[in-house]
Amino acid sequence: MSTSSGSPESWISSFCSLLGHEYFAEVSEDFIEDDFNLTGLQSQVTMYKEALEMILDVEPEDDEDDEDEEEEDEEDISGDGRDGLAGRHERRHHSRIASDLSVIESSAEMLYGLIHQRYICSRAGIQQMSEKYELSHFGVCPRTNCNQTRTLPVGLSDTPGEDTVKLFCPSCLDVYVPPNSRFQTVDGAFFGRTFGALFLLTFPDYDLTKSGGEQLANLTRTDESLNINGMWARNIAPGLGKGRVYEPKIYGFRVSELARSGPRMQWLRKKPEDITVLDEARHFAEEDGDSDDDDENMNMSGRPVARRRRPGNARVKRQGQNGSPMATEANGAESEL
Amino acid sequence: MLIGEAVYIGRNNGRSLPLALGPSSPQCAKVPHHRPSIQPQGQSKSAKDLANIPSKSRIAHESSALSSVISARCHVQRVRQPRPLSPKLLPSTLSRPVPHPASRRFRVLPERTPRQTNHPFDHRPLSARATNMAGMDDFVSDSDSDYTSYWRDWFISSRGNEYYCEIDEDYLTDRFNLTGLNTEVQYYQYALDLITDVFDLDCDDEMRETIEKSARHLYGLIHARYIVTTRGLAKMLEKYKKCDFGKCPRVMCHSHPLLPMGLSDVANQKAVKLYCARCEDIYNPKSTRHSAIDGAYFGTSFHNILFQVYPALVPPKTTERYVPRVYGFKVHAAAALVRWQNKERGEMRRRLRKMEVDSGFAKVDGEDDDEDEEEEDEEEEMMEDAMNHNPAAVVQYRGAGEVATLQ
Repeated sequence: MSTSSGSPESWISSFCSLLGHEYFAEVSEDFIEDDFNLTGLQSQVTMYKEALEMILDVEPEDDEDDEDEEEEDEEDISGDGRDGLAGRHERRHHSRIASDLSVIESSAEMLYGLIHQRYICSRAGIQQMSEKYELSHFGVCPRTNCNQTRTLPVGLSDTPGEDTVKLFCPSCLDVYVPPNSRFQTVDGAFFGRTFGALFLLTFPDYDLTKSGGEQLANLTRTDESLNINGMWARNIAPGLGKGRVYEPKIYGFRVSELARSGPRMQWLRKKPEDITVLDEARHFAEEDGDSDDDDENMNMSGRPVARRRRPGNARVKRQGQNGSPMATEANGAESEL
Repeated sequence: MLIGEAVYIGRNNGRSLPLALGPSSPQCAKVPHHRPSIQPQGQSKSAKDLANIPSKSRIAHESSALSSVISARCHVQRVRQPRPLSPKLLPSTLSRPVPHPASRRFRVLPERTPRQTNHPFDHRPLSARATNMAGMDDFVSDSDSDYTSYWRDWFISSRGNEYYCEIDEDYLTDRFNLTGLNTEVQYYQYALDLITDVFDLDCDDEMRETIEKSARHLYGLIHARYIVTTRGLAKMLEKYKKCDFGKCPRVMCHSHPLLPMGLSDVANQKAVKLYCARCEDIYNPKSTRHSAIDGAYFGTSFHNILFQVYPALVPPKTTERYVPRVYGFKVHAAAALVRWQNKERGEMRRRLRKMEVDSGFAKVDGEDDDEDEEEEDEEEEMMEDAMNHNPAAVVQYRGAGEVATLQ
């Protein structure tokens, strides 16, 4: 039967400890065993059943042909104590041909990746990823003006086989190629498009500037409790804005915008000095009055009139009351795919 | 071979030199020096300076004069004073086989140099080296000219120094180019001697370390000046085209090559950074061995001057960017910022159009608006789609299909 999830010998933990798989979280077996979480994956992965069994380290039960042999194997294992993972796999599948095994292995990786995409958007998964984030497992932003902000792994597509994993910097809201080439083999779909942004919405209280020097933290402390567009004002692209846009200079003189080689991309790193400019809903309300129905709806959805919030992690608690977030995640991912 | 060259110079009065002698010579020959009129004076002055240094042995004088003559190999149309060559040299060089020109640069130290080190810092005075060479006087200058640019060759090819280009001997020996550097570098003269491969001071290891360190520092400071000259720019451009400085990590820049730059022109302030001309932003070097290089060795102006000099190399700009999404919906906070930034861009483009300056964006004007409309359609579609499939979403819709967290 399955080994315990904490065992270092499980397929999942050995997969996550492979070189280049440092970004992966270990999906809990409870999550995989819930069929609901796997909705729709059967059609995407070849030899789905075998792959799933491999991930869960379960002996194939329905294979009637080699049932007896499997039982023997189990006895063997219990007799030997704990063998290496590879050895056990080999013995378990010894009736299958080698190529078959490699197909299963690769589809197990694919299946794990797709489950992982859903898992890291679930409550338990995103929590696990936040622990990895705090330990800087995903590296830091290469942009100089981001001051080594920690990044998050994201995909640019939810369909496997399209692009490799990228790093999303919450400080400049841009994506970067991981510095190490070993991540060039990791599929971006195993992390998905949603994770990066969802992480920021799930943990709004993360101080994104924490790793980036004390200066900035002091600067932004003044508007700490200002909440704009559903995010803390200090957490809206802290790496952008005045003083963090590169200004090309020649011998101390700024290069003119009118020059052929003058700056053209500064908009990409700009941010309004007064962040409340971005509070479009409020500006709209101020212009058109409050009589509008739509406007009231917006009010309910957290019209951010620069108000104070209760201290504590109120948002996370509220999310907990909203039923299982997993349900949404699975559905959402399906609609994407 | 070098002696062969020197002889050649002597014969032609240094007026025209064979182009195919060094690997870099054809390219160098095309580019005129930035101050050709001042050069010859500076050259002769520097030779005089060298002659005044008391610690130099006679051999060193000869070799320095010789090496500066040799360095002229890549410049055409430069009038030079014919240098007095040792009469002994002529017969010996005539009898020596001339190696293939291309092989010279990559040759290891001559085998007859008794103490092989992994860099050309010879630990013994020149006179000692000379006596070891089987008493062949006529080989002394020869071995020294083999040393030409050895220190620089070694320095540039050593690990972590991939960003540097090789400074021409000419540039180094022109004192005008080094104005003011003597106050910045400890043991300035020795360091310069080491860089130009005429170093012959007998001193202890500690002192050598210090001088070696000074030499690296001095090389960096000269490098910052050199790379903004016409020839320096051309050299760095070659390296840029070969992606020697790495590629932009930003996904939307699609591996555009980078350029090294500093955030300060003063040494020991900021490490080197990498500039991407496509997104016009600066990044930290990937590897730690590069992030230890002083940014002042490249300067704050170099990369901008490069694009001023070669405006055709300015890459086309795109409005392509990453937009954070949750299940296909833009995140409101980020999307509002994107809208604001797009407005800024629109204003900039309008300003430029008013001044009739090319904005450099790949797309034609007016396409911007269409694009926005398309985007909005797409958004609406997506929203409907998600509404149908995903009624239990934790998110709420606001504006044009964005999400904000519940309050």
